[in-house]
Amino acid sequence: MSAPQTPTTSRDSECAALASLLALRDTGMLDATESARVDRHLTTCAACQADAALDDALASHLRRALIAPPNTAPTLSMREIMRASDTAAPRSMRGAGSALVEAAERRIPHAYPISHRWGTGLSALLAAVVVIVFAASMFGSLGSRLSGNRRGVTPALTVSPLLAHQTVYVPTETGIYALRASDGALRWAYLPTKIKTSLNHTPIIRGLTLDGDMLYALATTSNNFPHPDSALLALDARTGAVRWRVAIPDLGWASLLRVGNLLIVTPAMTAGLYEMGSPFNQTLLAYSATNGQRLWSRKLTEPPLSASVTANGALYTATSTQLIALDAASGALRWTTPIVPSASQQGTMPASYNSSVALAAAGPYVFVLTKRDIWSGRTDSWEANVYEIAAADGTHIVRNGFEQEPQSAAFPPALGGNQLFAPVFGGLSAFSTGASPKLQWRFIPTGAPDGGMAMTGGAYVSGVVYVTGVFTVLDNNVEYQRNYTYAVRASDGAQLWRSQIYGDVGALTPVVASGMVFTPAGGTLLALRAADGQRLWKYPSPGGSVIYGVLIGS
Amino acid sequence: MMRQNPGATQASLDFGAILDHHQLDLLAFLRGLVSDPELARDLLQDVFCDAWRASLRGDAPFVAASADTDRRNWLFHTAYHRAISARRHAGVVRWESLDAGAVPLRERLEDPSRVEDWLPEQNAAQAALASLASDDAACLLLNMLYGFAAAEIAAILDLTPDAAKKRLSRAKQRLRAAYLSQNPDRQEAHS
Repeated sequence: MSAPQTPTTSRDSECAALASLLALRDTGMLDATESARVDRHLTTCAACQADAALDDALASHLRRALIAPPNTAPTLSMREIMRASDTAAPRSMRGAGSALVEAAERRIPHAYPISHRWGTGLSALLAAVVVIVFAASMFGSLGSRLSGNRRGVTPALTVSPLLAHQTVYVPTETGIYALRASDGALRWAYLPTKIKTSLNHTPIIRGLTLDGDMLYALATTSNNFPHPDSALLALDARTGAVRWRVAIPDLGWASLLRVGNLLIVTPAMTAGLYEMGSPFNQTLLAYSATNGQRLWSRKLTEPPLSASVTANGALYTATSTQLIALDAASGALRWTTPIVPSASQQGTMPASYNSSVALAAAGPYVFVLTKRDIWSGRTDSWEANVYEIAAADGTHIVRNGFEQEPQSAAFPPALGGNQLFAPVFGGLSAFSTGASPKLQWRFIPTGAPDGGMAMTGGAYVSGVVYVTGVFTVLDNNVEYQRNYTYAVRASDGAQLWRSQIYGDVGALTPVVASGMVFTPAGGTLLALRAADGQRLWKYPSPGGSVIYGVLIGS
Repeated sequence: MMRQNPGATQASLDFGAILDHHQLDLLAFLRGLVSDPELARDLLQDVFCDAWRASLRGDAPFVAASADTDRRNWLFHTAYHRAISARRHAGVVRWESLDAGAVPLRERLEDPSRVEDWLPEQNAAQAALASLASDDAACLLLNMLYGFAAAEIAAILDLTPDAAKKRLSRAKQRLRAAYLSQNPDRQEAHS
């Protein structure tokens, strides 16, 4: 019997020859001869023994790191899969109680997985035309102001090949996603990762605006009660790289507007739960878009309630009781005017302040949509007022009032073709603009609830207004409740098409560019063909994070 | 939302049981491939959404007549391709902290009960795994975590069994090399 051989510590030619077999030790992939050869070699080679031991250790570490411990609860449920699959089980495959789940889910913004995005097959062309349209969720921007109200128009027939060059910027509660407009492919994502409170875990990108290659973002970086913080960021629009950053202390919910080389930050009283009771910031701030230097600030007598809008060198913002005009370049006050009606119907008790205000401005007019609480007998409802006000001096030209509004939130009206489109009066209403504005029509979708439909702001392009219902409509009279984006003819309010979306109360004002309609809804952005509403792609924000608007740029 | 389709006729297939049976294995596989637990969970949902749609269409292997092994291979195959796509996308995603020294979101979202995740050795092993190409990492995970044979790995990754065997061998050697190169102190001990 020979004595055990002492392992060698240096590698030799056999080590090299057996390296591939050694790696397969304990995998079940070696035959008996190969296993015996490997085992024999291991008894004599310390270096290969060390390799084998390391293989074992690494496998063990990976197993412990990755495999869930015994009795770990499953991560996914059938309900999540069905909901995320954009379908539901046939009735025969559902158990008791599914109707209740389904009813509950009708009111929940759906979260979607990253899913198939089918391209439009568009080829890339030249030219870079900047199309900037920003639909803000809470404050919003103006609708498109392209002229040309044509009777009998239909939406554009094709999507534009320019889309291949265009980027859809999506601000969310976790960061910014830049998508290729033609197919929704991710170009880049900017995901800041600050966490300060347990109430809201991530920075929220509240506002986004674009100027050439620069993308400006307003991020809430801390929701610390009662002193939230924000930051103004300038990013390279092509890559998402940060160019500069300015901290804005004591600023929570706010909106961002670019006026030439100025970035206007307007705080908003529209508070989330985490901001309740906090001292509201009531100072407008203006920063240089070049380097983030603060250029002026203007403290108002009340906190702003709307996002600011601009026209003809002026800046307009609204509090709960006033419309305020400032000089955009200096922040100097131009005028103020009240926006709470003094008159009220007999037997009603209207609030002396508005609960929400949204603005639009173009040419010589500022348009204001306000909502306020109103008590009538035992009922409590909302009253909407649509003002046309002279931009020069704040003179009131007309006010249209509507009672029994179904929703308290005010989305910004849209302008186009000498018309104003406001989401009031139980649907979308169109008014003529000018010296003698009049109500022209109202659009209420088929199947709308008894109290009327609440709608987002509209987006006007070439004789068509695109708008999304915030409530679901009853479809086929009985079984289905869905909410849709609608294309409505501007001349007479006729519905041209509708396309189902899944945002429900999370739906925001659509944005239209190059023959496509982009509809943010909850955690999903849908891209529809403007011609017929066909869905071209959808982008579910990762983790289902809430989308706060859409910005299109080339 | 309620669509009648061929899937309704083969109600004997218990998709819920398939989901429960395979999801944790698939999640571990995906976590190994994409590192980010959040992303892995998203991908897991995508895989089962694909499977659910296939089931509703009555496509194999989501029919009662198919073997569970076929379903398992289908799920891993789909997960692998989803993970590859996600890894490609990862190249365009930029993470940045607005607060110097802040703990990244992805780490905060780790299950705090999995304290062993934080052990340096496991982190080092995962870092080495993350440095491998997708096909190498997939081969390793399928064999290390579940003991899949060459033929099974081949079926999942669209390879021949011989190619799967060679790839696994190379992947193990590359994992070892990556681990040692990322941990010079251990390299000294190893040598």
